[in-house]
Amino acid sequence: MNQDHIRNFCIIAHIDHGKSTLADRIIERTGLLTQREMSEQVLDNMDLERERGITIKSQAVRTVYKAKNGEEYIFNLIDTPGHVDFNYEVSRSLAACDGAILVVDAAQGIEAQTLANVYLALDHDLDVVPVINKIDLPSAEPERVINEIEDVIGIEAQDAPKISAKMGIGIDDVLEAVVQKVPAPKGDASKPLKALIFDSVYDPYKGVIVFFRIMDGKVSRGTHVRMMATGAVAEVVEVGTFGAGQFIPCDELSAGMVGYLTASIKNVRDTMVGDTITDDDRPCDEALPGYKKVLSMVFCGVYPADGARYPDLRDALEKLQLNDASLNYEPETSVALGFGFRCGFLGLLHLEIIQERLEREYNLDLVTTAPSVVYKVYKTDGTSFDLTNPTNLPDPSEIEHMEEPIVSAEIMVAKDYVGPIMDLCQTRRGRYLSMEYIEQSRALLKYELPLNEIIYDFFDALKSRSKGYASFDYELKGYEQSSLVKLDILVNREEVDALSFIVHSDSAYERGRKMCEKLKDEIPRHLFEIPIQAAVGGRIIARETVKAMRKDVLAKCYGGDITRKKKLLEKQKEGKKRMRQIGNVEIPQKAFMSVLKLEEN
Amino acid sequence: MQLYVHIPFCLRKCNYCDFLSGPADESVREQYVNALIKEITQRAQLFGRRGALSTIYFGGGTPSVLTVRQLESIFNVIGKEFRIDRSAEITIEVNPGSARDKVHFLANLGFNRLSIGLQSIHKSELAFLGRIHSFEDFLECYSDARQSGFSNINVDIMTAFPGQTENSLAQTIERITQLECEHISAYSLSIEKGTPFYERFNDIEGPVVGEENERKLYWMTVDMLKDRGYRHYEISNFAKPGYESRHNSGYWKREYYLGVGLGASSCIPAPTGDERNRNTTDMAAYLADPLTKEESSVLTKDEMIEETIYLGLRMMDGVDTDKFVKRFGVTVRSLYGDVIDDLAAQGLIYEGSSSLTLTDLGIDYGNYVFSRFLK
Repeated sequence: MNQDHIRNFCIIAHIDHGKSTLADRIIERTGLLTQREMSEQVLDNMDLERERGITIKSQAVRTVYKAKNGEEYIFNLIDTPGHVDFNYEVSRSLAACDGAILVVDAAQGIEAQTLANVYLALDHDLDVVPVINKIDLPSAEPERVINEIEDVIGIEAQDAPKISAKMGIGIDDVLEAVVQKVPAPKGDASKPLKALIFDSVYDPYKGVIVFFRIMDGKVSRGTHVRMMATGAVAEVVEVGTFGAGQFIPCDELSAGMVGYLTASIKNVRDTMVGDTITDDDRPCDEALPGYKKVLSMVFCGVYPADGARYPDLRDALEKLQLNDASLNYEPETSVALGFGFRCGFLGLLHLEIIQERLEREYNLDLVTTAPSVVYKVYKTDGTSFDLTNPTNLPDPSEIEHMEEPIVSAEIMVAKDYVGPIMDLCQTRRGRYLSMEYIEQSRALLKYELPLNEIIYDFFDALKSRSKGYASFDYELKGYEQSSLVKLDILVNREEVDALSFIVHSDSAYERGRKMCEKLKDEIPRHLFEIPIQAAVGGRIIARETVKAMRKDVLAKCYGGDITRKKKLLEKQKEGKKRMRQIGNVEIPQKAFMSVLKLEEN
Repeated sequence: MQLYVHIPFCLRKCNYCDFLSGPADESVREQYVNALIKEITQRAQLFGRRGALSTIYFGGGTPSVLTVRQLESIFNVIGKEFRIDRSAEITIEVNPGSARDKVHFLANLGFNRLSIGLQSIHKSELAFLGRIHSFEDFLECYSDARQSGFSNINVDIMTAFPGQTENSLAQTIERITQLECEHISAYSLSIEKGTPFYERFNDIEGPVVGEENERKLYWMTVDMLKDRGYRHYEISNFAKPGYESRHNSGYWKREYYLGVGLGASSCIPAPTGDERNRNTTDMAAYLADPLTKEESSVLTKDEMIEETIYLGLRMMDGVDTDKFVKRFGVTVRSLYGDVIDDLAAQGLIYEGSSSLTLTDLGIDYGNYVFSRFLK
């Protein structure tokens, strides 16, 4: 098929503005095969794929749209995450596209992530096609939102389709707009192969399945492909495109197309997302720019609850990193938690998602420590280093000074909640930059905030203080010197390394006190009294006590009780399994995350 | 084999009681007795003939609410369907208020052990617990029982309920030990779901009177009873030497028992491991078919081992480790060496040459100790 009839695009939106619903509608309204493909009975192949149970995990799908001009267009729709944590992921989806549908809620208008995503799309030179969604809502004001898009973003929006993805209204207008406004790819199929890897999955039968967008050239079965960054070479076994839920093999993919290849690649490290694929027999001159390497902003320790599963955790992290290059990890050991990994994430949501994937997809039971940002430590001997694990902080006497990461934050908030949000930013050591009203009822607040003040519960606090009428986006601005100390937690007079965290010296006492209170609730009573202490530089600043249990025995156990009582004992035993032994104290695994919930009761 | 007969009737539910029991009219009681007789007959045919009954225990509820004729018909069918050891211990639980005129007949029927639910000698405490008898009722019942020839009498008392003081408990203990009853069960109040007390006290975690207080009363009870010649043989049970309840000890020693009646539990031999099962707790279902089971499971060897230990540890003589080897072919130490060492280091258990016992401290934390022996 001619490149003129291919449209590679993604959908960008603020969270909950209806991106996924629109994607579903587009897939529903279009077909999976061209008429030519239908006659070639590709369906058989699809069935085969289905039998083997291979499904596409990636959020990419190819559909066929018969436009009003009577011609068929191939749509490659590549999904993007909407959350601020995933700018990196958005960015890699965008790199495979030529245009982006911008979905804006007709009632809520532009939100912080709308802006962030549009800027990213414009950075990638994508044509942005605005769509006004949720016009069926009683509070919808499509005209106001159209003006807002023009005023705030500065793109033409007067003829933006006004739709309701939920009700199925205006979907055809969106499809036509894609044909009209998203440019066709402009690659050269006769040039040497140059393709961008935007995702990959591991399949036990086929090895790594690489998802890519061809910029120039073509690839087919038998092509010797080379991954330009890793240097890995492999012979292509299969190429194909993405159906809804299946891989559809085909003979050849050429410039402008989006698809997958398999080449019996076993090592997940060989195919880095963002790398360029070329033809080893006829390589291209230079690799594609790939993605801006995004640095991990949040680190935490990840440990298997069962120490014996350390190798499983390592394998799982390796597999996840395959299609999430923003995930970093390196082995570390903790006195309290044993062998594990210090993992780097884009943000807290990213952390939570990875944790959940490890637990669900790899069936691992994990203990994670409090997240930390990366601090720069300048020592008195003139050296400096990046601190990702609070435990590694040198003795204060060896520290000349420390720096912490600062972000530029944009908060869009309804007028009524400006006060509470400003208060919140103030308590989080925010530096006020500016406030402008983007319309009468909404303001855009700009602040500089220390990253370590927002990684824990800032989103929750923002939501509760604005009753949900605030949105937030941020980017790393740089590092600034700050007065930071390490807060140590002692349980039964033993320092628990996994509970230490870095905190601004002014909030050390309050954090320490809250941490002790929290742990007092989390740690069950033992046969003896357990002091819980918070200390800075060896000095105790706060203390709580878990009182000793005096009685734990059932008075009665007769013939009729035995089964029931056993269940009770088993429950007690199970509870113990979810504990970590520190000295002679058992600490529940969730206590290691309690620092996350210190604020806002 | 031991036999337990459940009589799920009483005149009035006590405020703390979560046993399967309640008031019922005469026609239900009559139907129940008929169903019970049917069950005893049928279950005896299934496995009753294999061995003689070493103990029989009529519990409830308040078995003494049945008429003498009803008790007699149940007793007769047991005698007809089972062989009963000449020296069998045959117990019936009675309420001081409803048994007075019956104890003589009970003795004649063949019961040789009486268990009387007294709980307290104080009027206000009895009222608080929802008991319907007075201490005077008890005294009359007790003396009637003695005159009828009962030479093995248990008295239930309760500890650690709101309003009880060290002093009032000491008076209760003092007074009943003066009567020289052979056996005393002293239970700490526990708040169970579905009782009037649950509605009142379920927001309190642990003992209603506080852990500290509960333990103080518990150990005071132990000390007083020991001083007065009672052997502390199980966490909550005390007896003059030789009068330990054989039936209840059977539960802790993992003897086989057959439970008949509504909701009664059994532990019976099965080809691959012991079977624990429970009769239906639904009266209509029981009356329709008294063999209806609510739950049943065959234990694995591991489960039998676990039970042997945590039930055995409830007794102050502990687990007989020599018998354990004979029964299971392995030593306790080879299975639980680390656990034993750890618990011993914490002062919770004591390992003798042929026994494993809870220490006094271990009694306070019994559940913790027991749970450590679960796989």
